[in-house]
Amino acid sequence: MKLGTVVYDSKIYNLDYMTLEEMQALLKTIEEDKKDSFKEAKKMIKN
Amino acid sequence: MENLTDGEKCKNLLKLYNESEGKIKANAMVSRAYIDKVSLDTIDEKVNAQMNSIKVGICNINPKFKEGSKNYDVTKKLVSETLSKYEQALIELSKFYDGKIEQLILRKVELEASLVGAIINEEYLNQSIVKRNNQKENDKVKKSVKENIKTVLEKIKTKRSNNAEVDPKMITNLLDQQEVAIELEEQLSNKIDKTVKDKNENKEFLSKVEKEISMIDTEINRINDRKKESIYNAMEVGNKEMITTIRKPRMFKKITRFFVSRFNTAKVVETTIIEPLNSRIENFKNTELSSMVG
Repeated sequence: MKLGTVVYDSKIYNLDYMTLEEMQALLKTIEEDKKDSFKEAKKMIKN
Repeated sequence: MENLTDGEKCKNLLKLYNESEGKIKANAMVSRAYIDKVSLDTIDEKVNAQMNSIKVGICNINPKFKEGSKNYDVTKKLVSETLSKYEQALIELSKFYDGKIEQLILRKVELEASLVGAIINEEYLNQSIVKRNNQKENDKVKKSVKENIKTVLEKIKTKRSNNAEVDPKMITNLLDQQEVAIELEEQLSNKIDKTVKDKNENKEFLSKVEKEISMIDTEINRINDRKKESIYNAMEVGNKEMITTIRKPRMFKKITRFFVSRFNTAKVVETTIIEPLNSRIENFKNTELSSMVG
């Protein structure tokens, strides 16, 4: 099954060759980055 | 965070807008791949367990039945076909859950895009309120009307002090000017009130979207866990645990090694292992699976 490749933060991730744990870690990184961006933006517009 | 200028805020918001698209897309793709991987790994585990179970079963029937034995190839083919059907049934089961999760992932993408829009809108409305307040304070027409009122009042005052007659038209004019001033004030205030109302609604929307995104994350994890449990429990016998061995058929318990070679092992394997498994697969497809898929 072709899960594809993803480019994130200037790195290429081949999802077919990643383990479940590696994918979970990548997902966690992306989620946290997103949340941080939104948090910073909301803080900025409050000021 | 120190106070940024409007320009700096806009720059940062543009950066948020440009970067969010990539992050949201990457998140969706990796999420989708993750749920597929969970399905693949769980199904692999279960199929391997079933294969071991069959191997142990065959060994229990006749430990000498292996590559080169009579009808071994026939048995091998039957086992392969049955395991293929078994795997296919599990794939159908996982697709049912993965379809639901996919919808949630897509909904999350929509919501996150809305969230970015709402954050940018929040700043736009903040700046709008400031602009309208300034407008209200410095409106040229309002200033001009106020100046006119002042002029007319002074003229009336002068005439009164000189005991001269005040033209009623002047008073009417003054009243008209005052009405215009009040109306202008109201219009400008209404614009500000509307913008404040929009800002409050936007804030509520932002909060609602964040809440829904959080609920979706929880729901995705819940469905993924249910999917794994469902796959593990599918087509099991007895107490629904994944088994790696099967019981030897009762009637053969007392047979000694001397008699084993007289029996057609391939036939016994087919009757006691493969056919019951095929039957479980068909039963699963016709009952549990069809009720899920519809």
